[in-house]
Amino acid sequence: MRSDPQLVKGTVRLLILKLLDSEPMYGYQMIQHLEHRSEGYFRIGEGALYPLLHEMEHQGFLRARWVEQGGRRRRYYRVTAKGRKELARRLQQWRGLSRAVTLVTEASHA
Amino acid sequence: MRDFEDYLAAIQAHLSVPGRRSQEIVAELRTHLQARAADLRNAGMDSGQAVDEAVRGFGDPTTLARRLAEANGGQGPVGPLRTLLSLLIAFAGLFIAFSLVEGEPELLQRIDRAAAARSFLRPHDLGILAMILLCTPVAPLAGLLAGRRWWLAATPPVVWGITLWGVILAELIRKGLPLPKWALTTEGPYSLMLVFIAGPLLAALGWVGFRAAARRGQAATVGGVGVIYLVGFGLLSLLRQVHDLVGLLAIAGVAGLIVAVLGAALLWQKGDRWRRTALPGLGVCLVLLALMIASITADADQKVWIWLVVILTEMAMLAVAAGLSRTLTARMSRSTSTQDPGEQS
Repeated sequence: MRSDPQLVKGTVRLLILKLLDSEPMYGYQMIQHLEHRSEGYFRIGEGALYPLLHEMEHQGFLRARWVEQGGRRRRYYRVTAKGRKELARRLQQWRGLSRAVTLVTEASHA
Repeated sequence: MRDFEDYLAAIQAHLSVPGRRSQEIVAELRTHLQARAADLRNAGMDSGQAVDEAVRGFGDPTTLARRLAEANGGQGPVGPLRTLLSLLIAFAGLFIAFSLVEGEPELLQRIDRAAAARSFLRPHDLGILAMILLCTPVAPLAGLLAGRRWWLAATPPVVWGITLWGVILAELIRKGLPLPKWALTTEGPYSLMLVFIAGPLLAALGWVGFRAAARRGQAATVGGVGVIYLVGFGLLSLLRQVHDLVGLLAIAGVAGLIVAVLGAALLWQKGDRWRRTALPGLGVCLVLLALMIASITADADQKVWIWLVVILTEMAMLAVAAGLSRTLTARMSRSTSTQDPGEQS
């Protein structure tokens, strides 16, 4: 099933922070992981991903460095301490929203 | 592989960030494109299709370059310096133009005498015409230095020129319309007309500029800088023609209020930091007021220094305005563009 852009809106930062919290990744790897972990639901466009990554880096949530592996240089991103705080804040918000939506939608079915 | 390079070159051409950072961004995108194309080829796609498909994922190069530039803080440390320098040139050019006119060099005196003999135009009209002629070339001159943001430096002098044309138009209308006495005096009509014509015009420009920031951040910069630039210049113009203390206090107070309220109102729309915006405007006006009071009793040598400080103060005000509008631009652009990456998901 394809994702609804309106539903995805605002959650991508959370997804990126969560993804990078487990291990440093480069951009292409992030897209693949998100698609794989969400069973094909999330397919973030490259044109949206890189500006967002750079902005989060600029804000101090992420830090990037070039790593050479197998003759290829890639730019790996990792979450900073500030980014972890942001992740915790966004997770809390998301859980609150998710719970509220569930409460309302399940009540409507009752 | 050639297509990658064409595409990346198109991005780099529109990427207004410092050179080293620009190269780093392009290198990062290149590794992504190469990996994506390789995966597509492994999945059975032919080489050309794989390249096309990989490039398609990134979208329009101009849009991507703009988003990347915004995400990377615009032009970086070099850009604002160049912008500030170009504004400085524009301001200096305007100041020289005014000084030439007010100093009434021999050429202008001859023109004035010729005009008076023909009873066609009054000396002040010619003074304004001379200002327009001198101000207008300042725009491209400053623009040359400003590089890609030539329009940013060019806008204030051009708006100033348009405003002066407005004054001339008002003077022509005056001959056929019953305007109030303050608009008819020759001692300070241009300053007064400036307030009444340029004020609303610039407020509208600023408003439209900041409103447009949601879509086009650069328009906000022009609007914000233009407003404060000409409010500051209007203040200078007013203060140079009024010599009594009460008049100085009243004008500085009103001008300070305009700058402060305008800045505060613009940020109040976004719900934050409006007090912080109001304070620089008030502070600058208080400094100008103090300097002008000091200039009343100063001798000629001291006045040179006082005017120098006045110019520096106004340049500081421009810097504050530029910084403010850049901050607003970045914040408003983020709220509408990069917070919505899901659009391409």
